[in-house]
Amino acid sequence: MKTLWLLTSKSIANRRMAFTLSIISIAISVVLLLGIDRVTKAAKNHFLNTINQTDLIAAAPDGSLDILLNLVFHMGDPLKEVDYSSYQTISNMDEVAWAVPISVGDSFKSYDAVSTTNDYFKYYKYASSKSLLFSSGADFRDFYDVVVGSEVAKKLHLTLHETIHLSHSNGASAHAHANRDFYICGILKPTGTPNDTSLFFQLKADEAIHIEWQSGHFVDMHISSEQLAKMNIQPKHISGVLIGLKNRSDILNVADKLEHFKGENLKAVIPAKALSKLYLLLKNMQEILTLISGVVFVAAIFGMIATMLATLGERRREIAILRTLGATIKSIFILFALEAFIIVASGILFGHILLTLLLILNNLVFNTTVQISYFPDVYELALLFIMFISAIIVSVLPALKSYKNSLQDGLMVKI
Amino acid sequence: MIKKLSLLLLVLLFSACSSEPSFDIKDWSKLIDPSFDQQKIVSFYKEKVLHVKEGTPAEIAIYAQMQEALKQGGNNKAIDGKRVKLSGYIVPIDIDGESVSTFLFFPNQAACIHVPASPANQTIFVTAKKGEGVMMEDAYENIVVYGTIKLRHTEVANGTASFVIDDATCKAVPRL
Repeated sequence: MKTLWLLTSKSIANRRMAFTLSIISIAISVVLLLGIDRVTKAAKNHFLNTINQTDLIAAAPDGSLDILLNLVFHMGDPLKEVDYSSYQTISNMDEVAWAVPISVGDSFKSYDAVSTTNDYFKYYKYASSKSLLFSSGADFRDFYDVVVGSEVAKKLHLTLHETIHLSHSNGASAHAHANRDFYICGILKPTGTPNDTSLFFQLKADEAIHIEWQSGHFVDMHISSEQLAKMNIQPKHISGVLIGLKNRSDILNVADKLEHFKGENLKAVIPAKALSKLYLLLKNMQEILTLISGVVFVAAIFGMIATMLATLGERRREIAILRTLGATIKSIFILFALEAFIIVASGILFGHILLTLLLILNNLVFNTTVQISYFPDVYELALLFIMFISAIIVSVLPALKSYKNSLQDGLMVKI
Repeated sequence: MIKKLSLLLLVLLFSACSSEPSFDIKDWSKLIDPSFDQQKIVSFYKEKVLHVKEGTPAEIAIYAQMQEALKQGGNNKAIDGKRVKLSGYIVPIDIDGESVSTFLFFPNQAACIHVPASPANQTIFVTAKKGEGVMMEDAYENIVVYGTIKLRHTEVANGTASFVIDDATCKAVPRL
């Protein structure tokens, strides 16, 4: 066996180029296969753990996914507004333990500005009942207070008590509320949820800074910020309400009640149910991506076999010499299996190193809130094992061909 | 003597084989109070509704009352604390990692989508044992839940009592 190892390594050393290319193609397929798996898993967990312990989300009638994406992920087309009085009615309902009004639509340097109340920090839960925590500062005290998410603070180098100006609506051309200074009163700890990329300010301040916006235009009314804060402006419209119930088995009854709400048409969404729909969409995508990377792997294996077969010409005399020296058919097969083993093993190893480097690079450069694991899980290990075994089995093919050749070939050089 | 002993052994062996935990309740209809008569309630309100004008607030009120009466319709208190094995469909409430850890459980899929909500005696609030929840990809599949059913009274003023199963084990029924 030791001699066979030696022979294999010497033979490989003679065919460095083809050998290295085979390893690289395997490594790339490993990066694809594992990378896709890691990223989709991280994305799924990211989505699934975004909201927890919120029993219902009430908003203007729309698709449940639209409502979830809008109010929790701050994505997609804006929803119709809900009257603020609906929030008050909901929070006074017998079955409701807590209700948090939220309003989305404004922004700050392309980050979402969400207006809400201090209850948001009290009741919003993510992952397994984790609360939002402050890394510095605290929740709203003054009228123009702003709480910023961890990533917003980090990327824009914002610090406590700094002054910022929010923008009306979002997008690059957004008009700034330049005349209204907001002060940062708190910075949230990283959560891995859309809260990291959001800013929060008070609902009443939201309403107040918009009173100068009449029919889509800015009209300067020359009201000082101090005056505005004292005007006791009550919110009129919100985007939706997050609701927690006293008795969670009532969820469907309350949802039913909300959907037959007197005065306003509402839609009540169960976040977990909407997330399970999102999961199915993601799962389909993951399956397709895994299929593609599987095909890439098969191509890499065939590439390996092709190079092995192609180099058989070069190795004719090598094998013939070994045969005349008394190498058995078994030894020849082991020779090829060993070569395949070395190629796949180093391919997987290099692929893994490459993937880890890429993920580290990704975390350094993009500084994303999505946590991608650096280590393979059981599923991935099983995948690698299957890759390994199939590669070694397929190596029988060139071994067989070479064995047949060696029977016909003598030691003589034939042209 | 030996014959008797071997017979005893055989009996013991058999009982050991069939010692798969038995379940008292395997049927959703057992959750309904046996004295509850849905037909009676419906015909009672039907009689009432015939005497009011179509589309009037009075008519709407009668329908609401009927809905309420049907909902109040009895939970079978006798099954409190019984071991159950029930098959049905879920509405996810809490997600833990990649599985649904808390959910509402219904006998059929329609109950998950359509309003008005299922009556209390056909709804179970299930909390799964850690790691025994429903996998996210099975959220729309037929699920079997094993556990001990309990009747829980709520602190809400007009809330009805509801069935709960804590520490449940859940399995998805493989689709053929």
